[in-house]
Amino acid sequence: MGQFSQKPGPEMWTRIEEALDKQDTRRVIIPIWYRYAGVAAVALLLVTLTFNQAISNSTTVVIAPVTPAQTQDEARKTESSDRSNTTSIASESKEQEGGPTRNESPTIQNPKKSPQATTQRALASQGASPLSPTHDKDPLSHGEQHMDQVMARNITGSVEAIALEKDAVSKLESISEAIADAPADAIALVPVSISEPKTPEIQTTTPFDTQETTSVALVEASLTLDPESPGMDEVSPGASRGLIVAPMAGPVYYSSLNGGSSIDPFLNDNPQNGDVSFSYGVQVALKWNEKLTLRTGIHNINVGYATQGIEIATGPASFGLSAVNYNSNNMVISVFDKGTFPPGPINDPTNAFGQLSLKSSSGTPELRASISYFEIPLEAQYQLIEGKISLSLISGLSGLFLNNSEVSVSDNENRYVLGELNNLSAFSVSTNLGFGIDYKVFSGFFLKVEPTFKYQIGAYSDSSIDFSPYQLGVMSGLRFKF
Amino acid sequence: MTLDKLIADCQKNDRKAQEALYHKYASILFGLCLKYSPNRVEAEDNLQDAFITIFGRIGQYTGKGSFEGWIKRVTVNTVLQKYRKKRVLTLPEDDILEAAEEFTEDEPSLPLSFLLSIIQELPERYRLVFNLYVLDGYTHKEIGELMGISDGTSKSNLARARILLRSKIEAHHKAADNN
Repeated sequence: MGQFSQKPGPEMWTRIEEALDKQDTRRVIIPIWYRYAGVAAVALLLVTLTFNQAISNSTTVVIAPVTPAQTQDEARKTESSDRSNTTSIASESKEQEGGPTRNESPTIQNPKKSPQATTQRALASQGASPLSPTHDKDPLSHGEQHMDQVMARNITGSVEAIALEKDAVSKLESISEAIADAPADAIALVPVSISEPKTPEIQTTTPFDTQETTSVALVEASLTLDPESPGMDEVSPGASRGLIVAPMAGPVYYSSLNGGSSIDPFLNDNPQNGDVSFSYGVQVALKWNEKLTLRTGIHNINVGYATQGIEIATGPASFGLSAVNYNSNNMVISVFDKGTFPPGPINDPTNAFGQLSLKSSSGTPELRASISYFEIPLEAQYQLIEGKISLSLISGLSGLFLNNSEVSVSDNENRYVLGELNNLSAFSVSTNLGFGIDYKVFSGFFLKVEPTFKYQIGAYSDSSIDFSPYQLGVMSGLRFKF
Repeated sequence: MTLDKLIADCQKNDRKAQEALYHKYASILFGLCLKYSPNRVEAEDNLQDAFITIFGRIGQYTGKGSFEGWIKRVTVNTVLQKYRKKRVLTLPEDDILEAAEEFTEDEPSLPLSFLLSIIQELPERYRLVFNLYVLDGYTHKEIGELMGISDGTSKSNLARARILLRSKIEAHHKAADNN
């Protein structure tokens, strides 16, 4: 009898196959994607971080404003380093300041072959000083191939220099015209407004000797380098790594992707409502570069959900809910599917209901699980849009440390606390994905709103629980940048 | 095809492998469902649910222990889950009634179909406890955990199941003697 077996009907496999087909069509891809979205996004952002780092290193050279002097200096440095690898930083910086460069004479290029020479002549004809590098010390030591490389670099730089020069000259002309046409008191304002140096870099890289051209460059600088502009405090790498502190609070909605119940399997198909609870915490962030911010902090997350379609009764402990550690060991309050209790009194002593006393069934009884976690997130925030209102993508992981839990039942009149859940993991993680919207009130002070989806992994120690919890939070707060 | 290959293909949701696995184990599991269910219709429903669960969770089978044991446990758990859902409709908490009278269900004179029918006629909790303890070798502690009842209740239910079965067997013998 123990090994009793019997063949089922021939139609049995067809039934199972149909059920499997139905199940396959019911499967939703999105929740599966959501589960790992946070992890995938973290990986993506780490890759981005690496690339950003590499790019930011290279952009220090590439994006820096190119002036003819710098271009020429670069060419000179290249050649110098080829000649001997002993060029000191001090000498380079000195040369970049321009003083010695102007005093050295350009000599090495063949005027017939070198476009740079033409450029230099053109520059000279416009009143600019010759800015070619100094190769007069050992002109014969350069190979032909190396010369071509240097010339190619210099051509590029010179073309840009010509463009800048032409632009500067035309501006100078228009300013001169404006000065000529303007009244005397207005003319007096011009040198004041344009001669005030904004940054030392601008002065040192000015390719022009004349005071007028310097002033033009400074006018340009004053137009482009507005200290009030949002990007200004992030020009230098040191300034970009600011510490940000943000007290946050907001509602968090908690539910399960696949329904189910974490309290007892027999409640799996009962209607459930996720609770919207209040959560709060402090967020600390480190601005890694212009686009990327790494953040952590500590939050107190309060979540919960209510199960309906139940009736409340008291009875022996054996009727208690399996996932609840009851506060009392004798008679306990338990819940049952609505409609399982017979309407009238039970006189049959063999009927289980005889041992149960139905409590008030007025209103809509609810079984509520409330869980409190301490959350320590580790997230990356990638800036998508920057401005007065900024938009960013947030992703990462959170460690969730169980604080406490409570299971209670309530109807319209009373609320009874049954005990605490006994199937929760002390530690679980969540994968987080969301958006951050920041509104800049003034410099260093932002209002922020962050709708975030968090899928919780390993929330329950009992693996048979078919309950996949997620949190949907809209945290908001203030952001202070130090 | 080896069992390992069959399991691996089922884990990939291969329908042909699933069908092969079904045909390999359908008889054993249907016998199990018949024992745990009050009638054939419910047994078929339970078998269907059990196979759906098996195919859904076959990825969790790690290869440790016998596969047949694993699918049997899944089947029993599937039936018990249904039981838990309607548990209040079954029997009260009994006073402890020790099983002083031993019942041997393998009496050679009794046809298997008769034994199956009287087991199926048992009240639900008695039937489940009897099957788990006598036929499938679970301990009272395990039964208590599976069904959400105490060890004592499990023992008491078993004793009452045996009393009921004995009375039915005796009635059957009397009827046979009269004929």
